[in-house]
Amino acid sequence: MNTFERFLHESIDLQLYSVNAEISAINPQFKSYKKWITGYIGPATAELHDIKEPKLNAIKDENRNAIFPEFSVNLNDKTFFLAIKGCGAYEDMYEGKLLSPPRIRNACRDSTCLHLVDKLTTGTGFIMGESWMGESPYGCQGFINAFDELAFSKLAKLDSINGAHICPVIGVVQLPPEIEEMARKFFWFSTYKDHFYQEIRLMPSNIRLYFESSRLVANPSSFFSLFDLDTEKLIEKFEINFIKSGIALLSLFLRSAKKEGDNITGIIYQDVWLDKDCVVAPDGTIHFADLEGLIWKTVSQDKFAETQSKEWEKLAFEFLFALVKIDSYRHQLEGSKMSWNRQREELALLIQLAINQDSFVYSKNQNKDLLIVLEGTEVPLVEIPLLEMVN
Amino acid sequence: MDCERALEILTSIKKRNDIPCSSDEISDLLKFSFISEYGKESADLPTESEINTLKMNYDRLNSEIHGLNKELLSIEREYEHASLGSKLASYLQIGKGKKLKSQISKSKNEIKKMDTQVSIIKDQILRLNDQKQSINQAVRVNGKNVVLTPIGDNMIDEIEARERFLSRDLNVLINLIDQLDEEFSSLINKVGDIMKTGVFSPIWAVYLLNTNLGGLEKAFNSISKREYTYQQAEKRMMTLSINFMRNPQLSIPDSNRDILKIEKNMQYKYRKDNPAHDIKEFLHAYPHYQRIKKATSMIGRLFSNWSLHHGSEALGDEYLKNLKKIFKDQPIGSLSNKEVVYASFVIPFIGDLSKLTFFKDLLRDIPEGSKFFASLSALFPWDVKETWMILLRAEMNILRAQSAKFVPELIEYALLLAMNPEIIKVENSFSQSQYDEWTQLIIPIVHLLAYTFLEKDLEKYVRKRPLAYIISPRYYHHSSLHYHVIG
Repeated sequence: MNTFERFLHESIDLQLYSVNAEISAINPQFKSYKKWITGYIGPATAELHDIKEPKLNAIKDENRNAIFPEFSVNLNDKTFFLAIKGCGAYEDMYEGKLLSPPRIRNACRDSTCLHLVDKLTTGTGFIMGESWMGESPYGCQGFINAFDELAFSKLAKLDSINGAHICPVIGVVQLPPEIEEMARKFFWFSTYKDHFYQEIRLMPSNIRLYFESSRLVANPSSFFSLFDLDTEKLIEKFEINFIKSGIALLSLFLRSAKKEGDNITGIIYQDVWLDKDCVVAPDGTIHFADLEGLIWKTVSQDKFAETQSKEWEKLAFEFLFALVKIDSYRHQLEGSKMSWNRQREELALLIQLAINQDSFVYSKNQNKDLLIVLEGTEVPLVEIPLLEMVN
Repeated sequence: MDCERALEILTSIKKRNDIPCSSDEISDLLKFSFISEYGKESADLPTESEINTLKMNYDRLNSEIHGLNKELLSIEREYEHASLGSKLASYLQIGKGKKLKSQISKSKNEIKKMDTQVSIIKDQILRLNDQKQSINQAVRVNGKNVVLTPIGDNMIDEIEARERFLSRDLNVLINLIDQLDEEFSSLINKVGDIMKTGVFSPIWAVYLLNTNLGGLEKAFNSISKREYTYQQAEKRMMTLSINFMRNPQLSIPDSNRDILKIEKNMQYKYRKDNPAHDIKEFLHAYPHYQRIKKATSMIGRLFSNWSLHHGSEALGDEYLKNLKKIFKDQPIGSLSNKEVVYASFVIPFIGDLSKLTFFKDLLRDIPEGSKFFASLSALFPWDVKETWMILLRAEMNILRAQSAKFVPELIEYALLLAMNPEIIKVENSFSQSQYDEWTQLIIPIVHLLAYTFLEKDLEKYVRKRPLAYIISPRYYHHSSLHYHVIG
């Protein structure tokens, strides 16, 4: 067990309960993990239904997800952990505090259930009928989101959509009817009308860029030791993978592009961001986790470059901000206090190195600028200046 | 070498003026890494064309790897689509499958070799660039080529800000700066340790450390968990700390029942020499009176403590006199602004009001709390420039530990950390009575005002402006909903 796996084991802060749930769909690439595709509910939901076994150790992730550090799989030499999206909410939707039994009681709209609520010893991991932004039941997952995420995962080869890495969904289950029925009785304002689903997915880590994790890329000192990155060379390798995968995500539209007549269709990001919607693997590779915010967009060929550039710009700052943090921390470890000009120069060289084996992008020095050239099959070239006046 | 001489030499090097000095002086500056020596002569200076040639090689190699990788992918694809027979035959070292496999392995090796080469060239380019830059900036000092390092550049500011150190040995100042760094870093770690289990806002952890009341953290946790509103919890935590200041012999309470017992026993102890009534009466006519009322009761108790321990109520009388004058003169602006009102409760402790003007100007661009911060900055017992250097040092340590969250909060945290008596001791030796005033009146009153007014304002501020984030959003890591709240 390496330091990061040990850390995950030590971070166990939750026990989830496995329940028999109907498998709604499965990602064919992960059929061999069918045994993992079942329902998992949080302690509060389990208490409400008097479910006591079987229990699994887990780590809370975001507000309604969890990672099981004791179940892992190796994909392309990288360890991925089993994870669940929609096992019940940890926080109160309106108070910004942990969800508590009294608040669950307040949300109960059926007085015949109050005797059950009064027995609750925790509010953690509660699934309820309240509609979360019209997309999902609070604490669980909605129909469209779940199946969209699965569709994007099926498109990927294991965890990669032509080099852009994701946390793949391996299956979708529908919450057992009795649990769904009971959950519908709990809401503050209005309810989610469709059936309740859960996604079973694979995640390489729980380290996010800026939000929603106790360890963040924006704070390199908090996780570098976890990944055993203690020398300058190891951090450089991590940084190169970070750049490579970051640029791959910024060029997702091109990587997923399909030409249909005069139109081109590709994946764009809609209200999802690198800061909180992706995790970073111990080798530095960024994996997009919240696939529900990806959508297909069709544009005419002459709008292709403009659309890809906009997609790039949308997320570039978040990527570059974290990159500068990692790079600066590497120099701090080296004990060098370098000028920003020198740092830019080195970053330019690293970027060139990082993408030299990417078949969708290459770098080009033009005048004094470092350009990233995006090239796909049958789609126009897109040139994006990444570091101007650097040479 | 004294600080004045070090400043003279470092400034000359910075301005790129040659300066005669002794070998000992050069050795000292080299030892502290303020300068670095450059033995190379300008004839050895890497030429622009040398660097350009390397860069061209770098571009070429990267592009060759890119091309080779594309070829590799296409061969791999071909192999993937090859017939099963062909694949099986490849294991027998025959047929098309074998040829493809050998091509794949050859390309992979080639790419690996080129990748190593490209890394070597990258390092060469960076090294030559560094050499070029250093030699261009080198100054001849005592026959040697030397260049000012970033640490040396910082040292110029450190010495310039501390006139009182000019005639003292450079070692003394360096030791002092090292001690400051150690203290700040240790304080930040201690705050982190308290907050591992603390369910209160981190400002209380700093307060516990600054008032040497570290044992109360469990009691604070118990109060925070028990009280329905955090505001009530804060009131009880403050009261408990004041009770302990009055009677340090009290046993550290383990349970809420013990805390309640202390509260009950102590509630009527503050009737003597308590200026709260006079302060309230005087404030009655001013705006924002209601908000200050509760804080005033606490301030009264602190002065009552002071009188008990020091046998004199003179300080309380003087405070009230100064407070009235501040309200009359309004040195930092109109009292219609509530920030001015609460900052005015700190100003009576400032001996030299010109310090206040200095910091008011210096900090005016801070978007929230600038006047309050200016008042706190003016409290420190050092010259303003020196104070500013110490605050910058605190900020640097906070940034290093990545423990500040928002722009206005960075200065708040730096100020509160710098108020720690250990920091004050490093820079300046306090008399016992100054020390007591600092820990028993100034720190608690500042804390009281910070949590009663400033923290609430900061919260509103960051909720409105998510980009106020600077580095670590640790503040919100326990909440997944924040993003929708503030972003």
